[in-house]
Amino acid sequence: MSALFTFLWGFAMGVILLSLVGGFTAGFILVERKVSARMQMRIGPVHTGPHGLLQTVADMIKLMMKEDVRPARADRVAFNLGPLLTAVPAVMSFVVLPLGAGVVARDLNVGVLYFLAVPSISVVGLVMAGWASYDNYSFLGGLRAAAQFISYEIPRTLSVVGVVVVAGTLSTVRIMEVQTIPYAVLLPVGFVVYLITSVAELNRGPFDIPEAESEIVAGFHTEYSGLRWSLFFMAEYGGMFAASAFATVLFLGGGAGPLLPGFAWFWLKTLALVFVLMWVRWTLPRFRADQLMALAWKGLLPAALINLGLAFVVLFLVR
Amino acid sequence: MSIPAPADILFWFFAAAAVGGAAYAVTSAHLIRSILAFGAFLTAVAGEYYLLAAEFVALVQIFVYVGGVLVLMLFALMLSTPGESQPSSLGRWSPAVGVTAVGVGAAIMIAAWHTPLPVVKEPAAGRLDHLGQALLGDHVVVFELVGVLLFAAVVTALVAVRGERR
Repeated sequence: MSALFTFLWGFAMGVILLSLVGGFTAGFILVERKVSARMQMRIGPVHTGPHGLLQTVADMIKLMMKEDVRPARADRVAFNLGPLLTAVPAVMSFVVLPLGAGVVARDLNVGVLYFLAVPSISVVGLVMAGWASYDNYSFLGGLRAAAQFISYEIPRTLSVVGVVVVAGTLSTVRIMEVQTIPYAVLLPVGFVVYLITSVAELNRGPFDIPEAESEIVAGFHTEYSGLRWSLFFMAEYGGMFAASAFATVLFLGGGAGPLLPGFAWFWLKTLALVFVLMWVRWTLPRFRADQLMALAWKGLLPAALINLGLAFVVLFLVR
Repeated sequence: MSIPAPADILFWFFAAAAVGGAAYAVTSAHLIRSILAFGAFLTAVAGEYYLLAAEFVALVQIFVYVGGVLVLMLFALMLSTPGESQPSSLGRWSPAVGVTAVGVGAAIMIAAWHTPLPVVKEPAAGRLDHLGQALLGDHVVVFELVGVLLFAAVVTALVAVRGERR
């Protein structure tokens, strides 16, 4: 019976995480609209529900009712699989995230590596979608996504390695426990590199060249509509929350903080980081492809290596 | 008959996916599809590692092969036109290549079959420190040599690219 129980428990966890990501997507899209509106001296959606709160709900219904459009010359299997391969790893990355004190789907002893490795499947989905659409803009978007991902993966991983060196563990829960001083204070360079590279891996502005609307229409998701299109958005907004929560765990001490309970602190820090990601997107102009590569290889990679060196100094001082 | 354990079901699922993916990857004439099938194979093998309680190896498999090698291969081959299929370029060598491949595969299988493998009751899960100590202790020379080799490869690639520009 225990085997059946294991299976059902896993299934229930999957459903919970999937609903969580769906909810985040709906919520964050509304918040993003409001934030971007305020930054551009507009007021954003107001008509659907009080203060426009039901706008994304209406949008979701609209997306579900849309006709299923597929280009005639598209590669059918790859076109259908692309969005799924992008969204599923984004949901899977939530498995190791400790959402508050002790609330974690599974505390893997290699949790940090899991969080870095599993979302890297997403980019295969993006490239697949771009290629399968049989469209020049989609194709260019897919190529750009692949190039950007490969470049930013390296400084991102190196910035996290610094934290692992100081913490001495790869478990996300243990890192939160051993973190008496937030690592953002001890390793400020690593924190900044992690945040910048996370924005790049999510393909959000100013690193949104894979979907730059002024150059290549909408990049890899040009030909997508309806539910498949919304899967890309689920991956982006789910990934945005996951990256922020992971930064809270690694660099901001997780649920540590005075007065308020750990749960509240964790969510406050995470949502603040989500706001920072939106703020950056609506403030900075888009990078050019060559600037993007120069930043990754000439700026962030050396910075991440310096951070790694600093981590050893910190380790030496602490012990 | 008892209900098969989830681990057994998963084992056969991953095994089927690995064999199917690998077979499709080598038989498909379509380059991109063949690479995607290769990706399915790599992921399925990672699943098998996970079932063997080698979580670290499973994740490294995904990180390096799916996130790195596969994306690089896709990136390179995306520059080919979709739907383009080419006949095998091996030509008259293909029988020899086939015989060699089957021979090496058979040799590996026979060797694996006859090697007495120790059965570990308690998987050393959570003992990442052992791996680290082995890499930087007993095998430090090999580890550093691999580093030198990779560095040489990077420098060579850079020189090759620079050379073309002139």
